[in-house]
Amino acid sequence: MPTSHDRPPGLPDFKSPPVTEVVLSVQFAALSSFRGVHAGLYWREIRDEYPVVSEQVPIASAFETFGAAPPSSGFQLHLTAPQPARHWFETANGEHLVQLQQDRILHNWRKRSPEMEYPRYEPLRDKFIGEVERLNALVKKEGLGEIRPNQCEVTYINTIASVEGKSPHDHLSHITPLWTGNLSEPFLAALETTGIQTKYVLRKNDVPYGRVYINFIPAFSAADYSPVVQLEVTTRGKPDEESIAAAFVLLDEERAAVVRAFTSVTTPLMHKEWGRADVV
Amino acid sequence: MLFDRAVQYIADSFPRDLGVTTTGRRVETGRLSFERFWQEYRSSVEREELDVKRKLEIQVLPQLEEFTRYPVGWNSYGAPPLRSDTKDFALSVLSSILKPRTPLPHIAPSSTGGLHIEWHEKGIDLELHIIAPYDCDVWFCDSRTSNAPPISGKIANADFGVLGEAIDLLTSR
Repeated sequence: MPTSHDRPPGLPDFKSPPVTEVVLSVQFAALSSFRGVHAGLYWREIRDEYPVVSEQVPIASAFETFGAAPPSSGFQLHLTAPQPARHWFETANGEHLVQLQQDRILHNWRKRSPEMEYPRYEPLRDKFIGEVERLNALVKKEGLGEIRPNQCEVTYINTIASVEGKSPHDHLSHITPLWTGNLSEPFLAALETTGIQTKYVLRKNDVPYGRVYINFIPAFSAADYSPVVQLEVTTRGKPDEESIAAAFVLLDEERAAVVRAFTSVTTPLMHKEWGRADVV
Repeated sequence: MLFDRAVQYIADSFPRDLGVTTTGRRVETGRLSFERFWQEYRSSVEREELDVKRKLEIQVLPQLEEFTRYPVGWNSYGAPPLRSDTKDFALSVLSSILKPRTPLPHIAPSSTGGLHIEWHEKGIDLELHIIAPYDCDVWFCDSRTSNAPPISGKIANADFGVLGEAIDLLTSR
């Protein structure tokens, strides 16, 4: 059984990271006989912790492939056959969310109030292992097959409210080195807003195994409509084998990749504001 | 509740292509969104990419979904139906390798729960056997010229670049 790990040495560390949501996801070979009643059986096991239940449309499956044209926007078709729902199981305060559908399980941590502190990756990972293994035990018991992971995904959503008191929308160059804001002609004097999408291939021994997706999205706080920039960093890849243990090895690597990618696409100015602790 | 709203954000108009993990926190704005702007002014390359997706959606997806509904033993020899994750993987692969004018392949279920994807036209024989996600065999031969070397074997590390030349020939010849 996979066990929890300490924070990897040398990984960038921030005292007050701007993270507002973390999503850990394991996609697996679809359990073709999995139905809503089985989701209900699963809920019965976690109901004490996750009393709030609802249904959502399922998330389309995603696979990272290489060499040909990269998938531009995540390949999603309009499925003609009805798909079993995705079930949400939430804690009473909405901080933790388990999502379950016939080929995927996810755990979201969500910052639901400004006072709420990011609990860090390791405890979330430990919770998620328990939830995946509980699901695996259930599907085996019900004769539905077993969990055979084929893609693992880690997403960190960060919310950057201001840059030295200035709107982040027109000071993106203060937030990320990806954007300089330079123009060849002075015609477009004042920048109103901008967004950035980039992706990178993850390699192990020079062999590609996944991708990092970086997305800077201008947004507004719903509380006071003040401008914010949402920075999403997602890693997705294929585990070395179709086992839960291999899936969590990959999730750990992907989390490290997310942290390093986040650090790479943000500026030292912001690192200082977020209290980077691993460098003097 | 106020505390709920404190960390909810209204997406300001840029396309959100990474939506697979969205938890539906955002609210649609009533303004003309940048997403619509992009849709209206999308480049020709992106339009062609949409054409490929539309072709797959209309002509290939229903066929694959039918294969997933086959009964066990559909070939009288105990063959399983197409695995749904293999179907999704195949669609992802086709989406990345097909070009707007590439002819669609002939597709048949395999006896192992996978798919045979084949082109036999214009002097080109290209066969892709998707056994399961990330487990693919390829066979290629061009009978008209010897410029493109034949290919036979497994596709390693999900690297479908090996099909590039064959697809280019199928598309341009």
